[in-house]
Amino acid sequence: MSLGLIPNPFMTSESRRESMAEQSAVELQHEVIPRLQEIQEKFGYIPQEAVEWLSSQLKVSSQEIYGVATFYNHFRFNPPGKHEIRVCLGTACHVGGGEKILDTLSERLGIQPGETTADERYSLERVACVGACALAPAVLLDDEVHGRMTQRSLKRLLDKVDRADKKAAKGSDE
Amino acid sequence: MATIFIDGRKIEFEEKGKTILDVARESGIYIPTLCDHDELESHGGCRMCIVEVEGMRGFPPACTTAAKDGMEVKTATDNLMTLKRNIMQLLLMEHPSACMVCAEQEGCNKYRPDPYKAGRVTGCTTCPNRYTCQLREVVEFLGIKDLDYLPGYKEIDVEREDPFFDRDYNLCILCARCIRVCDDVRGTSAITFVKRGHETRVDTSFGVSHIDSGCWFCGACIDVCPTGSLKPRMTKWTGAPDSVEESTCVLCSMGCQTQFTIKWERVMGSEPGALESAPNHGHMCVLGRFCIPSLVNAPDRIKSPHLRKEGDSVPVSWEEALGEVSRLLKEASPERVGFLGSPQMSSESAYVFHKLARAGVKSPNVDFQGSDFPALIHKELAVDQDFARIRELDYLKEVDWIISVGGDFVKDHQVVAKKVYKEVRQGKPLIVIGDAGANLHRWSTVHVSVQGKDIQKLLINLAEHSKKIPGTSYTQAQQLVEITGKGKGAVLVGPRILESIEPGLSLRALVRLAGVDGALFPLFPLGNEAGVIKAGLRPEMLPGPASITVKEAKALLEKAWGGGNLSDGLHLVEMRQKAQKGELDMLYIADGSISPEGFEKIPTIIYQSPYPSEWSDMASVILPSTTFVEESGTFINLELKPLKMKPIAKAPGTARQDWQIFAELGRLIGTDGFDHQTSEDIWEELSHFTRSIEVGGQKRRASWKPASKEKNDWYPRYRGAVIPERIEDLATFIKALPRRDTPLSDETLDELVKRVQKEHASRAKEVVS
Repeated sequence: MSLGLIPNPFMTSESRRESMAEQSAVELQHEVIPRLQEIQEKFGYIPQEAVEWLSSQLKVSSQEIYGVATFYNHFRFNPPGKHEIRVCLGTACHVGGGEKILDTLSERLGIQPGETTADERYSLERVACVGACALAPAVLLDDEVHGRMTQRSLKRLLDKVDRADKKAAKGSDE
Repeated sequence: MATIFIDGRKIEFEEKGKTILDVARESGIYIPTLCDHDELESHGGCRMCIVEVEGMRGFPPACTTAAKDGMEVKTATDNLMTLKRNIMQLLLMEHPSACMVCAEQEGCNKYRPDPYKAGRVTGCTTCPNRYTCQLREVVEFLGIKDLDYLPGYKEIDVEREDPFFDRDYNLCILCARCIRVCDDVRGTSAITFVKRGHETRVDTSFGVSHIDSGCWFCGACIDVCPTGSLKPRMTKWTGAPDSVEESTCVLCSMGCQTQFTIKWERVMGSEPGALESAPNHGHMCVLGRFCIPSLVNAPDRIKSPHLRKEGDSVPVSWEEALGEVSRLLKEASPERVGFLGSPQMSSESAYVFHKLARAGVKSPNVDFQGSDFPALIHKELAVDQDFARIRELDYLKEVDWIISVGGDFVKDHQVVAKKVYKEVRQGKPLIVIGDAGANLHRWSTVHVSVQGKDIQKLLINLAEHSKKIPGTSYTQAQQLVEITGKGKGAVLVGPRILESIEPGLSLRALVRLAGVDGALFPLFPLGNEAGVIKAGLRPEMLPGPASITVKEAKALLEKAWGGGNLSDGLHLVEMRQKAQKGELDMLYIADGSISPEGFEKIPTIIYQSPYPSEWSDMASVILPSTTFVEESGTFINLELKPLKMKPIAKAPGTARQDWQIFAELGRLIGTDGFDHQTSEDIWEELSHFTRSIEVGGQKRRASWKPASKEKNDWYPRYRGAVIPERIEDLATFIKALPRRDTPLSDETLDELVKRVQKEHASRAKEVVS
């Protein structure tokens, strides 16, 4: 990521203290979104500890950072699961019943969109158009598009993943 | 002069950054608003103030549209009113609105004027904001009688876990006033809008409690909320007050003008006074906003005088009690009597107490607790007669930079902090020396966390514009010299400056640093310390305050009082030492906050206070006095500005005002000059004495001791009542403070990633097992 002329507050602690002093509050505030992106890149999500850490780095309250982060769909606050499920709710998928697919998934996994299951196997997200309108309603499982989803094909898909995982777990135990 | 036409009316105005709304209001034209507030910048969120402007497309909001010469504005066309009604109805879909469109409304308002208590607010009849609802005002103005859209209830849990106030965001209309006042005015940012669109809520980061989000419980959000979403838990169901009175709060040295709601002759609630009332201008702190009613209405207040008879303290009449006290005072040998006043008395009471001691009993042993810091200020400023440096806080606008030394003032002087933040927000540099909590860490341009003895060296070098500054890096030192090198400065100095080796030298270095036109703001920790110092309630001082060594002051006082003992006497520490040796026969103490340790051997103790304390068990005589809401008098705040206290509530039992008790005793002893009828008489008498401090007069106290060395020494008391012990919510808040003062993190992002992932892995293991 290009930082231009602004000194990078992510350098070693001694030199950071020095350079922090040279940055005005406004300059630091402009750093919020790029820093959040960097955090999400490293963690895969935005943990609470990182918001508190960023708050002390940038002299901006945790609330302001969290407010900015929750405004954008891009940022997530739960660690991604082993399998990431994205349900498309673009216009075509919405009309095609994407909402119902999402509800079913939510019920089966016991989580709301944006959350991760306690065993961290699945995370669920709603996304806008994925460009597979012809295949509406579409579901992305680990970045693979599954189109024309029905309740039945959805169940089959998840069962298959569960079976594969179980088999893999057994394999690693032996 | 520019001209504008609003609803056909020709209005002339100054075209200086004014909006259409400003101009309309100035000429008395009502435009409904919800998100607009006098203290906040225009927001343009609620769309209630939309207007039509000739030649402009659409419906611009009056609050964000600049008024220009020749504009033709219409505020209430049919088209506009229909639009506004529609917007309001959309808003009411999510706000419990059953009562607003109820056919029984008129009768209900008449026969059931008080809201009744309910766990959930379902309409105006169960809403604690019923009397002051701004949403209802606008609904009534728009004349909405029915709802065209299906209403829904947001079903958000009411948050009752945090101290002092409940938050019911089911009533929230998302006007952002609370967020803006917290962020833009108080500089705390404890709340924010979370998420967006339909899911937007006012919340904290990751939904943590307000205690953990950095809230100071100043109550500013409650004061600006147009709905009943935010309400102080303790006073929300008391109903409409009988009257509203403005008086002075004495719980710290700010002297906030406070609006008290009175019902049944008692204080039911306290809110900040009007926006234009100096010195606090519509703002307060946690103590004034939430703690006054419980404090002054405490059921254990002393209600009648008590005398100790055969070991038991029994209630007696005032006649008997005062007769006994005057006999005791007359019989005592003056040198063996001590008088200890309170920094939370009125200046008048302190003066009459002083007069009773020196002129009545002829004893020079007078003092009060917490006196070292204000006395240091007086002594050091006397060196060059710098008293004019103590200015009004509004002078912060005039200075070029601000420096704070001697404690984190955000905690114990929240209103001062608000005023400082106003300047910081506009880009004025703030230098913080010593402790800094989350707020100061964010606000400060330079923060040097040196402690104790290094402070002195730092200040002295800084005053000489030397770049050799202990505890700073090269860049920081350069910045410090650059900022303080030009213009005039404002110095905020707290009592922890007493921790430096020679506080006097540190203080003088600060005064030099600020420059001739600079300002000094001594942040006295306890109420009316400046007023009690004016009454001269110290062994080496006389009213004015004057030093006992100044001959003219002494002569003036001798003439006014007709004699009296005007020599140097014992101060608090010396009284305690004498008491331990059994060399003190009697103690007249009017402040229960002083520790009774060491005073156990004194045979006769006269205790005067509104509250019982450890002293009441030791006292031979107990005299009940009034609190600051029940007495008249003058409070001198940290700007050395006199502010009036008014008796607005009824004292419990037969409690009397302090000065009345002292004056009566003076008369009973038979001394002339105690025939004051009102507190104004006393103020008049005290005003004859003027300040004449001489440095030599205070030699004895060459060494100054810090008031307290503990890190978190903010534990507010009021005349023997320990406030956090009486108010659980305050104790919870104070206990949480050290946890919030986490130092600046030195971790790099990679270190953070490692730490968090490790913690996360161990948590995940627990879930699986």
